Amino acid sequence: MSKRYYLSDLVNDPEDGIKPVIDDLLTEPGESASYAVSNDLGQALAAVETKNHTKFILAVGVDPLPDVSLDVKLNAIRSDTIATLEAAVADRNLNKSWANSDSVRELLTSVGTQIDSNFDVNNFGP
Amino acid sequence: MAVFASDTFTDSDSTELSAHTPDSGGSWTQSTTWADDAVIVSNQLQLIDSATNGTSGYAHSGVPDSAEYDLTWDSIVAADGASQNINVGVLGRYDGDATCYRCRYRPSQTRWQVTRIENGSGTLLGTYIADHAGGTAEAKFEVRDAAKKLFVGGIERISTTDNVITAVGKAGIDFAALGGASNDRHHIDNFVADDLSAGGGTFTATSALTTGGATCSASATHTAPTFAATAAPTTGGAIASASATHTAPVFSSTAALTTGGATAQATAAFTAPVFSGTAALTTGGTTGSASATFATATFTATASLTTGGTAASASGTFVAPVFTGTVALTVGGATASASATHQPPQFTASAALTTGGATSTATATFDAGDRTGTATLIVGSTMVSASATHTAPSFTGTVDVTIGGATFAGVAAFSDVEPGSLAPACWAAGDVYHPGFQAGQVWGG
Repeated sequence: MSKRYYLSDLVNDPEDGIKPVIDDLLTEPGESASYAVSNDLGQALAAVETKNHTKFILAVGVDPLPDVSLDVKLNAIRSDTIATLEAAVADRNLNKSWANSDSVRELLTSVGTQIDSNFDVNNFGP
Repeated sequence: MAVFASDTFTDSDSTELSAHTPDSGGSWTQSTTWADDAVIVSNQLQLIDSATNGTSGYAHSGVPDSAEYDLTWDSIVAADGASQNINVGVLGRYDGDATCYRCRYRPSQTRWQVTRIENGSGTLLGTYIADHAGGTAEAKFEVRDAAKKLFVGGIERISTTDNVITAVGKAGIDFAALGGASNDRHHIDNFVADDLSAGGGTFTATSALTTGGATCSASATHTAPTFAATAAPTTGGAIASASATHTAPVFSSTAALTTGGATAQATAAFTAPVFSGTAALTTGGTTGSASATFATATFTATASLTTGGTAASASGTFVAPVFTGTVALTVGGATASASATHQPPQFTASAALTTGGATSTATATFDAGDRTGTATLIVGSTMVSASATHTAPSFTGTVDVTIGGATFAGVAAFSDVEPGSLAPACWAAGDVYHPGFQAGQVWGG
């Protein structure tokens, strides 16, 4: 199992209520996901644990965040990856309030606290 | 920790929950929104069979000391329960009607879910996929301001930082049936609600025993949220002490023993998400120590022992997906060391021995599809080196020999060996010079 972070659209499910669209992709035993959800923004940040992230990466309505250690600086990540990330954040009407010298941990905190004011990356996801 | 609600649902069959007295005392009160009955059957609780597509919610009258508490329960699913959409779970910060944090298991979806519910409208906060049809799962829903966590079988599976609902509320139980499910296929049992306080105030306990030259004392203190305990027996020249402390979120413990010239001590600590432990032993001229740390994806362990002129050490690290390990031993002027690394799909191992003027090293690498290995031995002025490569199905290799100041290059060669021939078996990475080997001889001939 490995953990990755994703931005996800929301859907209103008649049985589950409002939930991230990424939730419907959880099918394999042992897979898990924890969410920070903003109904107002219509966005969720998800921490997904699975053996294979392919189906989540390719899903419509889901944007994967960089698959690197939380302490890696953004300026150490490929520029096209960062450009894709920034485009996804902008498309979701979230603010880009981080600097290129920040780490992925600071990026997650920036995005997560816009969605959930109580967000703390150290308590998010198993 | 103080239990403010508990129930094993021991009562006559068909007893409706609000007519039942919980083990902890108090009472259960039914929601007006989720108003179908829950009944006791075989000393477990289920949604009443007649409530087709029904929903049921009950709040326990116990009031927790704070909004931070644990809810534990058993989820019991019949062997054919995986085909039934009968969902059962617990409620935290429950207003008694339709606002709460809900943690439940859905057998037909083989999934656990944590949901925030406000006035009956749900927002899903986490999911964990698992199937326990035909069995029982022990679950804990940890309700904290910092996070709402689900543990199944003692393992954390969901952690969300949502804290929209902050009122203390009550602890509760929830049922929901969908799709005409058979309600008797999913039961709940052994419900416990436990807050983080001890009921207020400070608790202190001490004891002491003195007999002959021996003294033993112990003490424990709890002033929420800190727990501390110490013990210290003393007899003759030996002193032992131990202590443990918990001030959320930090757990730590230490133990020490001193007798004559020897001292042993150990410590352990946990501050999420880091676990660490150390142990040390000193006696006369001998010192031994070991430590291990786990922080998120990184595991590290080290150990060392020194006695007289001998020192040994070992270490290992795992940072997904790379494993590394090293060991080293030094005795007098001799040092031996070895290391290994695995980063899929490549394995690498190396070893070295140094004593006096002689050094021997060996390395081997395995990468899916290819195998390579080299070995070198240097003793005084004589050097023998060999290298070989195998890329299936061919082998190639050379052997160079240096004796004194003279070098004989390529004294042997082998290549294009067909699979199954004897040639590869005659040489293996790590072999050194063969005394009977002749210049110009074809290796493996």
